Amino acid sequence: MPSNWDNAVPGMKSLDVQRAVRDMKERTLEFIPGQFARLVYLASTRDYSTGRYYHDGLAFKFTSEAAQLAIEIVHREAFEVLVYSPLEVFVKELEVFINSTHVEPKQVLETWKKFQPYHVVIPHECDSVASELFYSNVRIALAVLGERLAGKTPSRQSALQPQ
Amino acid sequence: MILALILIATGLGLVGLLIFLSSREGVHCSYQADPTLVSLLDAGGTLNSQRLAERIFSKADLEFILREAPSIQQELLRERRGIALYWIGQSRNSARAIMRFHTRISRIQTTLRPGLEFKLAANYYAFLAACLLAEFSIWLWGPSVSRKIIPTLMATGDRMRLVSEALFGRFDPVFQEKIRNRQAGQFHAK
Repeated sequence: MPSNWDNAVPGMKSLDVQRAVRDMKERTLEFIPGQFARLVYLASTRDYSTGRYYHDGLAFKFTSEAAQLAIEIVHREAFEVLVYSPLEVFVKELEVFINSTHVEPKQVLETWKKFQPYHVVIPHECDSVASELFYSNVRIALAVLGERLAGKTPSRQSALQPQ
Repeated sequence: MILALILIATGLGLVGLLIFLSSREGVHCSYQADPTLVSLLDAGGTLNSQRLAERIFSKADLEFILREAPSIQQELLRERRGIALYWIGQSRNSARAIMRFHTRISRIQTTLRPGLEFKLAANYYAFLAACLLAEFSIWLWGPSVSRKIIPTLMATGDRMRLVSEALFGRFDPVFQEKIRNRQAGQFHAK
């Protein structure tokens, strides 16, 4: 953790943020299956209007500022892990996420293609090229999973489980 | 009489030059606090986006698609071509931002280092040429074939970044710290 987090919010200690980050990873993210699901979860803690993150448990244990900054850091990390992953890993992560929704995979694929909800899961301050690469990878991954589901892939097998 | 007039005119000219130079020093101080310049220097980080380039031009991704879903090969190539061109465009914008910032700074700086200035200009034009070549190659042959040009582009960008950092090193340490803090707090694909 860079020491300059000390100055991120006046009066806030970087140690608090570090503890909040560890807490978030060990007590919450640990139990969420897959990197993609973690990214979606972290984005869901963000207010769409203000861009601020809210997590009552974390804010209660530390401070709301420390919680806000900790989620921001963890969100950025989760995004980086995914965006720099090889496409094969990316497809696998999306597949794990779709399976974890317990919804018909075909329906999830169609909804994601139509409404493109993945646009809201990226962190606020991220490189525009990285975000474009992420969107592109999701589109490709959706196409690959669609092919798998239709049995058009050479292996003709899919880990997507029809409900 | 004419000689006296010439001497007075020269003296007045020198006084004027002194006033002009001292006023430039004053601008320099306020200039450092300009937030837009801080963001312009931040843009330099984009030049160092090696990890992004590795992903955009990845051979492994293409091989995976050829193995897994050959029917979407064209879709992958189209997507990657778009992102590759966007990445080059962004990198070029960053280089331009650095040069614009440097030109503005040079106008108010009293101590210029000609060697370093020349080096920055040469690297800037070399980087622009490399961008143009890479764009042409991507348009013509696609990102997978153009992969070989990218290390050259990255190396030219790196050289320019190093020179701009050397020039940046001349600034006030407080100002430098402020920019570094901003860079550390921001996610940049480096």
